[in-house]
Amino acid sequence: MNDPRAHDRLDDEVEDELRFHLEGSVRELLEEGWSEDEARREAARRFGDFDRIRADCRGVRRETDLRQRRRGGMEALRNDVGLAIREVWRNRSLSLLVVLTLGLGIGFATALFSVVDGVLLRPLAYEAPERLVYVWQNDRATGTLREAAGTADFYDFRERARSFSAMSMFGRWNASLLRDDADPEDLDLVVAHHDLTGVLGIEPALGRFLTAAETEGRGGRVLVLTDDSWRRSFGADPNVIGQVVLLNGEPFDIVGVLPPGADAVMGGGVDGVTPLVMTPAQATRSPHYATVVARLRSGAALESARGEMTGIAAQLEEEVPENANRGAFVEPVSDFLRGDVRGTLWALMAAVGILLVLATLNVANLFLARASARSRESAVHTALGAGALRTARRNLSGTLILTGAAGLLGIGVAAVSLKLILQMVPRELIALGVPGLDGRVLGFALALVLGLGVAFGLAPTVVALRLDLRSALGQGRGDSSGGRFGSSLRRALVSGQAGLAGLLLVGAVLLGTTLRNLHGVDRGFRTESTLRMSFTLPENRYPTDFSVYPNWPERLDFQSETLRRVEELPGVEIAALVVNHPLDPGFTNSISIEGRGADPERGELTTRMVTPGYFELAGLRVVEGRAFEAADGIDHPGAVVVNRTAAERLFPDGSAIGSRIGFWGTGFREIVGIVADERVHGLREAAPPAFYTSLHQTPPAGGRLTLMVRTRGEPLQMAEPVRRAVWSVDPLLAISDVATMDATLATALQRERLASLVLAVFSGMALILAALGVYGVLSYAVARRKREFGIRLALGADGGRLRWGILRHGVGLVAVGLALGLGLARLAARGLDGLLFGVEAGSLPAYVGSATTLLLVALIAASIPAWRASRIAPAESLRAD
Amino acid sequence: MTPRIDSSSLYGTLNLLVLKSVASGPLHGLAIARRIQAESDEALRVEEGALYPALHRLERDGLLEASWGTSENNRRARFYRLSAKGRSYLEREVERWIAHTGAVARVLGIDG
Repeated sequence: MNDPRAHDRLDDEVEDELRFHLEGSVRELLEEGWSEDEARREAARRFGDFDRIRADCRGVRRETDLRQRRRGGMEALRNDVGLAIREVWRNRSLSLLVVLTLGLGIGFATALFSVVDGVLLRPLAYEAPERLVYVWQNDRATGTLREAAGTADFYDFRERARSFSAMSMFGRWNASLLRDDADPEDLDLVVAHHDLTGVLGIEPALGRFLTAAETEGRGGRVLVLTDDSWRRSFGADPNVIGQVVLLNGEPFDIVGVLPPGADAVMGGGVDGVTPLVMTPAQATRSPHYATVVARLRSGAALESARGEMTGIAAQLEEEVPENANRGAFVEPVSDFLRGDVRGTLWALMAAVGILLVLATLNVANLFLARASARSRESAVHTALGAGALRTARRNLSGTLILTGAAGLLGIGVAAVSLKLILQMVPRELIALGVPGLDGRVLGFALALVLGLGVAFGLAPTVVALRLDLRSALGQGRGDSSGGRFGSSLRRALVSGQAGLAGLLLVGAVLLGTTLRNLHGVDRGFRTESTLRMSFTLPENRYPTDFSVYPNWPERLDFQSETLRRVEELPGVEIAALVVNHPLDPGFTNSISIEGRGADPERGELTTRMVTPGYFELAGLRVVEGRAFEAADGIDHPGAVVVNRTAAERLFPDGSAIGSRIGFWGTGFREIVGIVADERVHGLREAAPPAFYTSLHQTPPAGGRLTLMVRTRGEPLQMAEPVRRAVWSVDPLLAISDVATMDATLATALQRERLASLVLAVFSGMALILAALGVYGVLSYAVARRKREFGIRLALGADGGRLRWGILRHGVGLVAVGLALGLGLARLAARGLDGLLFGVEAGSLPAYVGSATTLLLVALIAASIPAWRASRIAPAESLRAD
Repeated sequence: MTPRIDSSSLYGTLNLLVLKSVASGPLHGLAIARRIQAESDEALRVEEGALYPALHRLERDGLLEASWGTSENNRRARFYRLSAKGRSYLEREVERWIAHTGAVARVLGIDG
């Protein structure tokens, strides 16, 4: 506090005080008989060093003054806070409403921000990530935009391109990991070129990355772990370097661990990196499994790199016949990784932002209404010199308490909603950065709390300051809330919110109905109490010699033995092996019908390869003929089962049973039965025509099998016993993808579930806001007209009619907005067309239901002020002014 | 002439003397000085001015409360009175002082 005027005052006081002493001292001496001059000199001498003492005293006085001010300030603050708390308590229902509304708003905004931050805002864990690009190939003939390249193309790109400072590649594969004292684990790996860390600009966290020698196959078999797998499978052991593990039975040395986030560019979920093991001479044009990633040279622009690569691809097309129609496409890594969701996330953020703004306006409105109802009190305050700062502080304490409470609630809401969101969001998204309630996100929440608190706190103050004192005190009816324009703005706000609520409600109803329909559709297969898990039979222990197909004893024996042992388990009802479970669309094959010749119009049939137990497990009814039996082995004639759709389409005359069809060039097989349809191409699409073969007759060459088990109790509880049963047949097999079919079904409906949740939540919030708006506007109107109502009631007006008038006002406001909102909904719902199922965008029940709900809510919200109006004691209303 | 004792060696004691002198009612600085002189039988003649920084520090530390008033001559003067905090401080310190000097006297073989 360095106010010079205050200092002057204190200094003068000190001066006066000391002079008083001197004067008194002089007077005493005069009385003792001293002369005037001598008395003054003696008094001064007895006093001491006047200047020093005066300076000393002045210093201490200033300190004292400072302390007093501070103490006074603290006390005033405590007073204000105490008053604010009492205010909040007095209006506890309103305060609760405000805290709930804001808490929900802050919660959702924070949860969403967490996702946006993790996925979009936080930079990738690479050096200068904006310079990283993918160099895709594409195929003009089939019209693809992005494809992996052949390894030979990668090496050519690397040699010829000038726009990049570094270029590398990776390709995904998987292997089963075997260590001592651990169950076999399925690992998602990549093979990579040693320059990968150079391109990404990262250093290994432990050990080293691959060397050029290893890339070209002149080094040993080495493995570099990613941070995730190091923590998960190796317990973050710092001594992991040098350990030897078996990948698909082959020994690999662990030589390094990558830092966290290194695998984002590879799509996330990578467990380790092994060398490419291929020299340029050995590289091939196909298969295409090399994803090429490069760093733009500083000074090189994306456009010029694109042009260069297109040119190089054209060169290769001319030089190599195999590269016909193969072009190149350079794409920034962050565009690819984030492109899909950017739009959606920002749209969601904008939506939440709108809701938050509406909530803010609503709450501000409520505060204003209250402030203006007490405007006379504020006017008196101001007249007594309360000071703008003081008033501001009073209001601010109150609102900060409310927004603070809302903030705490909001963090809880954010935590819960984040958990829900994470369950429903695809895994690739999370690979970019797991959203969580970290420092940045909490900082965002704090900013919201403070910003809102200040906004609310200051608004009434600003209003109060512009109060016309004269009119407030003179007329006895302070009305400072913006007059005519302000009130029509408020009414528009309420109507607008009602419209928004109506719009969102329609969407929520439509999507809710869609979800219900999807769940209710006749899938054709059961998902309850069903467990599934997958494994790959490696070539080295389960050879696939096509010259003796289907006589593959290792595979056939594995299949039978595994099923036998699993079905022996007490909690298991029935088990089956399949190549694709019912929610996996699988693949198709073209077939020929014996005696009919080729028919290009016939198209292809979906191919399902199963064991006999599958039909009972999935609950597939046999419509005609029979399903597979144990006898249908490799020594028996080939048996095929078709589904009803296939039977009707191929044999409309009903002659399916007994006819023979052929595929894979392995001769014709007899159709022995027709089963009911399964919707294997997703729940929305009708069942495709399909045929089934038995794995005991046609063991698959690919080697990836899925075991499905119907359990007596909770399926996940049987996961461990079933795994042990499989391992008892082959202890080296890595088992992955353990899940229940119910969970798989939920994942299949992810998009709809997420959209449904979002709309439900938003419409709920909009509904609350609309109710709040109606309540606020009507309360304010009633408060303003308190005197008028009091007089009317005193003069014998009917309380009921008064109530009705107010209710009509409120409902009318909502109805206007509703009409607009529903109209907009009709237009906007068309955008939902892709998501809807079994319900039209214009479905009447949705609109009627939405309108009814909204009007009901409006009625309830309006009834409180209406009730209050009719209970105004006339005397009180007159006195209030 | 009574010996002039330098107030600095009696600083702590000075505080006690000041507090004691206003214990029975508010006084302005001059009156406090005279009372200390009177009650000590002129044995202690404090450098008069040094009283004032002491008074101000006691006020700063909350042991004294000060306000402007009118003196017996109808002049404006600053009066000091004991605060509640000052009163309890005074009582405590007086007890300690008595105990201290009593002990010293016993050591020196002086009867109380």
